Amino acid sequence: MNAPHWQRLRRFLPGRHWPLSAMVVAGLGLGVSVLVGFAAMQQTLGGQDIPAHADGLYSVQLRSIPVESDPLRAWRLEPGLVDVLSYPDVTALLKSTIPELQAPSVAAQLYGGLPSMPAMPLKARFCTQDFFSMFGVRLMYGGLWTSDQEHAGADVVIISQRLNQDLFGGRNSVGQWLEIEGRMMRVVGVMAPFQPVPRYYDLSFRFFETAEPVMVPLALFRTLRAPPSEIVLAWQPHPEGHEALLASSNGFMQLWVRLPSAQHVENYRAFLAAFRPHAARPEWMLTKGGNILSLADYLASKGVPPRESTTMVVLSALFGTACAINLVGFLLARFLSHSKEVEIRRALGATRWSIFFRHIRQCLGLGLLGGLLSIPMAGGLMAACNRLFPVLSNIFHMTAQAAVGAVGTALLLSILAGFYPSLMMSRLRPAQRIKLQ
Amino acid sequence: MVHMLRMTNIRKVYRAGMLEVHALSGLTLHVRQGEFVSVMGPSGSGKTTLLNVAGLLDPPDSGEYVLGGLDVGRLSDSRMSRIRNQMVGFIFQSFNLIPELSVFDNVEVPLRYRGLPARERRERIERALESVGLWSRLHHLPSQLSGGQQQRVAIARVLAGSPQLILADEPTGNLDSYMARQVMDLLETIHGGGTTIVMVTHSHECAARALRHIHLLDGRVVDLDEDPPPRLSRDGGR
Repeated sequence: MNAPHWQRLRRFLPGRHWPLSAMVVAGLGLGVSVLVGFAAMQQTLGGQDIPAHADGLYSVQLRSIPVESDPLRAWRLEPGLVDVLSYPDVTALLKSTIPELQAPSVAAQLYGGLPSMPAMPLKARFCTQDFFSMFGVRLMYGGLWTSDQEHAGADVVIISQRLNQDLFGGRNSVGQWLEIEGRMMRVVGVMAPFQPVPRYYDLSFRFFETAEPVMVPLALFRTLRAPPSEIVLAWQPHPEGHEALLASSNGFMQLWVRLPSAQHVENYRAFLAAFRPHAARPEWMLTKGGNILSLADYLASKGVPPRESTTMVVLSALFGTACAINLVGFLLARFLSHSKEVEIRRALGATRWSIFFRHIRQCLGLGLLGGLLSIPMAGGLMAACNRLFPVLSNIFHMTAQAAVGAVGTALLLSILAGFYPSLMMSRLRPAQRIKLQ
Repeated sequence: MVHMLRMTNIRKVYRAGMLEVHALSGLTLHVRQGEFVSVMGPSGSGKTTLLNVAGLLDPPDSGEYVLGGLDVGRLSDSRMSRIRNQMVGFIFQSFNLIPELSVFDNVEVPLRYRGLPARERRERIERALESVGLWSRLHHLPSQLSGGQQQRVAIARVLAGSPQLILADEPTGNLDSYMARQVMDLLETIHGGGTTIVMVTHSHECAARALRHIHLLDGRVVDLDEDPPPRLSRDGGR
């Protein structure tokens, strides 16, 4: 007959002096939760969740400002370049056949909703079909508008899953009508949840910004006369009227291109270097050329991840280290409290190594518990941080990867912290306590 | 006859700061295989140190020690651990069972270090516990047993390992006379099977059950007595 399994399980954990064990577990849980929590948030803020299809994406930037008079040069990779482009420039750039995909877009604030309801503010993005494939936007119902609809500026929209939930209770709303800016617009598609963090296709305004719930063909931007809701780079007095804005050199659009190979990149860079702005500009602004930034460089130029979050990760790593150092004392106290047992085991034939590994195993048991405890603690930390950013709902969340990282970190810390105490125990002389009986 | 242990001019000094205690001062002792030797002497005479050195729990400072024909003076820690595990069994005055482990698990400890397969371990444990009459207490914790029962578990732990040499340090020291006799009966039975036993005791009653008697004083053997000491009384425990 053998001992019950629960008794065998106890060997992995120190049974006596449970308050010391509890403190070890709590200390590990706290240190690891802070470290993993901030690291996971850093990962989110750093755009690590941006999908793999983002490879080959480039932000188009034009040299719109003479270098010597660029007031913003300090935070740009290359002085004089801006990623907020004018409508005439974008129109001219789109004539290039080098990119595999081109996605010009502009954000605007519209008013509308169900025809039977009062109009409400709706954030919208005017874009082309390429936008959806370039940024991996999937549709849960319906499809994209057709090329004909795009060119003709047909009254069609694609709405977000959340707006579809709010307006249509989540059912398939394709074919339904919305009244936007006084025009009846037909829903042709409903997006699957799409919430890139950061909203990397447009970081011109705010770091934390939700994806727009309404997507409208770019051609309608002229028709709807919607003022751009985001940054407008104005190097001349703001023109009166929508048509004047479209004809001006004021920037309010983003342009992303997908360049599938290094040769495409080289060719497009050459194309931009020779590009002359098409918009009417003051004489002092007359300059030519442009460049493209890869997505990674673009994120870096926009301060992604934010320096503050990097600082928090460093601080949390220091906190985790302090916790681990304190654990050494706890573990030493915990182990020394059963030094007599160790000496008995040594007398019965245990080698130093077996005693060492026995204690390392106990550390791993405690580390496992600490790691498991750190998962809900890190989740709580993230939930608290989510409250700090009410613009986006729940951008930070505990992922399976972070949970595995938490347990792994706790196990690693427990081994590091337990190494010295385990070594001490393995060096106990077997006759020391037994002799005193 | 082959010697189980041969100690020649063994010295052991314990140091605590400026203080030096000469526990063994040139001790020479030969014990033949199958002997049952009692070791007596006043407190501080070096009896326990002798057992610790004999059982490889404490290395001597100098001298020659041959255990089972093997010079154990220059062995690595892991080698000494293996010899302790396979050749030597300890019985302590305070039993030295591990309080969190059941009777079964306590007896199993040295067998695990020996790396025996689970089935063989189980068979050995069952046999050993049966022989000390504690089969029914398999899953009891030491705290649920009387002192005599705990010492019998300690003896079962030794028996399960089938050692060639048993070192017993006051095995009846914490027991009443009835329990002491039971333990001594067990030791005699074990010795009858050919196992060498060296037993430290203050009890003349217990010493009388041994076949050879050694007296220690100031870390040296002062008297090798082939005859048993005078028996004080049949029940005169210690």
